[in-house]
Amino acid sequence: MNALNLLSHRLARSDLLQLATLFFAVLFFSFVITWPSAPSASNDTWFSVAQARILCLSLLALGYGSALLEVKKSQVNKVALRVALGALLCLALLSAPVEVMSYALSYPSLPLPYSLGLMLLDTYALFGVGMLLGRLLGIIRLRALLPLAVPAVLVGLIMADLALGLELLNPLSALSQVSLAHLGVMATIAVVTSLYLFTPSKISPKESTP
Amino acid sequence: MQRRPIRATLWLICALAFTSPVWAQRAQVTLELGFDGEVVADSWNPLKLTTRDITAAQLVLTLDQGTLREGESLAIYQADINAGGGVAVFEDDLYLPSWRSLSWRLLGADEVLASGTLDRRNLDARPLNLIVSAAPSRWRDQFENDARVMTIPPSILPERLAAFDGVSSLTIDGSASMPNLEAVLAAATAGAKVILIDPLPASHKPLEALVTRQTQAGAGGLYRTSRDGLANLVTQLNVPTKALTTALLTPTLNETPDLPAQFPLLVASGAYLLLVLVLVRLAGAPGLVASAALALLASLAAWSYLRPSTALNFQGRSLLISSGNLARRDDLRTVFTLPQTTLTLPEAARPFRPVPHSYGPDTFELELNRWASEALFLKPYVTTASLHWEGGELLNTGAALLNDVYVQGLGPQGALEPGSRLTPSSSEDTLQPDGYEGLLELLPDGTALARDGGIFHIGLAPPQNPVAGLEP
Repeated sequence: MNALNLLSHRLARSDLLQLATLFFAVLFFSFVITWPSAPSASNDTWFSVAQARILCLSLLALGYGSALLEVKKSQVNKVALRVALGALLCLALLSAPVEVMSYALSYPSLPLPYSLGLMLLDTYALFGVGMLLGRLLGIIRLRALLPLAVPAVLVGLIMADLALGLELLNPLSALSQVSLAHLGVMATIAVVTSLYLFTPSKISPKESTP
Repeated sequence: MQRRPIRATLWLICALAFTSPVWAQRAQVTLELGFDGEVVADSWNPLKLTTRDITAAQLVLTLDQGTLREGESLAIYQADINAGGGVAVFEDDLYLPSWRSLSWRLLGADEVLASGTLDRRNLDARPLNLIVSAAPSRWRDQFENDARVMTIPPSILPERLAAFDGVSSLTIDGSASMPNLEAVLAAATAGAKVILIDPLPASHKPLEALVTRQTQAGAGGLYRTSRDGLANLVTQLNVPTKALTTALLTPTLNETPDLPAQFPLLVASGAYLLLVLVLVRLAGAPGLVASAALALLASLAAWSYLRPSTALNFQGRSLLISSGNLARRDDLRTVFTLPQTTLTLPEAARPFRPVPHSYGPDTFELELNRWASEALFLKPYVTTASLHWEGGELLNTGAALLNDVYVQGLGPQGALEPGSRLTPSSSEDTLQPDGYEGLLELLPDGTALARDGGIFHIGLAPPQNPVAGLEP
């Protein structure tokens, strides 16, 4: 099976398809409620659509990253992880027109390529953070807490930045202004994630079965 | 060995002897704001900076126009002073809104050469009544008790219209030397009543000749009166130039861009998201490729359809208040911006609202947020009148066709070709042309109003020759 087939199969599976439907519904809803009805009102649609989009993608990345990583190294299926990451990046791309549509009239100060690129980079990096989370919870045998831990990690990233007055980890603050520090941190995490995902394992019995 | 300290001391004394004149000649700077220190709030005021032995410096005047509730809002005036040494005078006109604090400093290359403040107690929006006289006390009781009356030497009268924006009257009794005719005309054109008190000495012949030749100029008038007639003249109302300028704001100039209707956009975005899900679910790998292509196409289509062609909408209106052959011109500029931007104008201007801005002799800069609009008024100036009265007739001495000529009290009069005359007559049609309402309610009967595109012309009727057909 080539990569395209793997991706399309992964996206067509009911778990991801249901979450994709929910994700698109959230985007559509935020678009509907913030599009100004009066012509004189300022158009702030992009701000809510972009925030909803990055929050959903972050939660999906953290959730899939943490849920797919097995506890034992010998059981890790890196192909499945790579395909899941690819499917999430596809979702980010497919939802981009809604953001472009809202950006066109909102005129935010952020450049559009930065905003679109940020979504992809944060999805990639937070998938890696999710894998780390899954591994840690697996070590302490608390993977049952994943449904709580995933949003808690996202809230933790936001709160940590707010508490420290930094703009390193919070994806929302990176949407308010161009943050090279955030891009740097996320790019570093993405590189580490890539190194892990694309380095062949010594023992990988599930490599051939995604 | 003992001589060495003595020798060193002598050398030091020699060195000090040469350097001390440099220290002693500190730069001398005098800044005069308003007329002899009296400023009129919410008006353009004259500024005069006199420097001695300064080659180049920068004048920075910082004015906080904020309020207790809204906080600080700074207006910063900056002007480069290229004095070139010796005694030099820099003059300009400054719009002074009501301020909480006002301070200025003159900056040299690496030091502050002079600085000062203007106390908030000087804040007064009442117009000034200027008297050019060697014995002004005899005229004080001719003015109302709450009038701001001050005596000024004729030499300080500026020859710029904007400087007289806050002046109600200029009284000249002939006991002092004669002011420049240009300054007198600038005051009258700005809207002040210039009053000459008879009899004037022979030294004032040119001024008398001017008033004989011309009784009106721009928004003001030139009058001759006896000692007893002064009180009557100074209590007459001036043309409300500020209110007329503000009336230019209506109807609103800047329209927000036409937003696409919400429903078709919702249908389009909903259909796109649904189609993507169906393609991904049912069409496998080709469906994924098709979805990606669709995403690209949808993005391009949304961008080209929704993105406005112009992000900055700049419009303007002008008002010429004329009588005689001179006019006072006020220009309004309105800007509506979609992106956050810095607006820079190559002209002196003031914002309508007290927003933070910086300005200079020929520059104006304002930070605008996204989806924001602002109205700016440029510094008024003297120009040649196009529409004015002459012997009961309306004249168009300009080069452009004047449309929608309307005489207050008589009604619409049609158009006025360049170089042509018109004898107004009472019209049965009382419908006012669009955009005239705000202006006409401020003008007396007999005033003519016309427009040439976005330029409104007001022709003030001469008080001595009432327009035919109107009740006196």
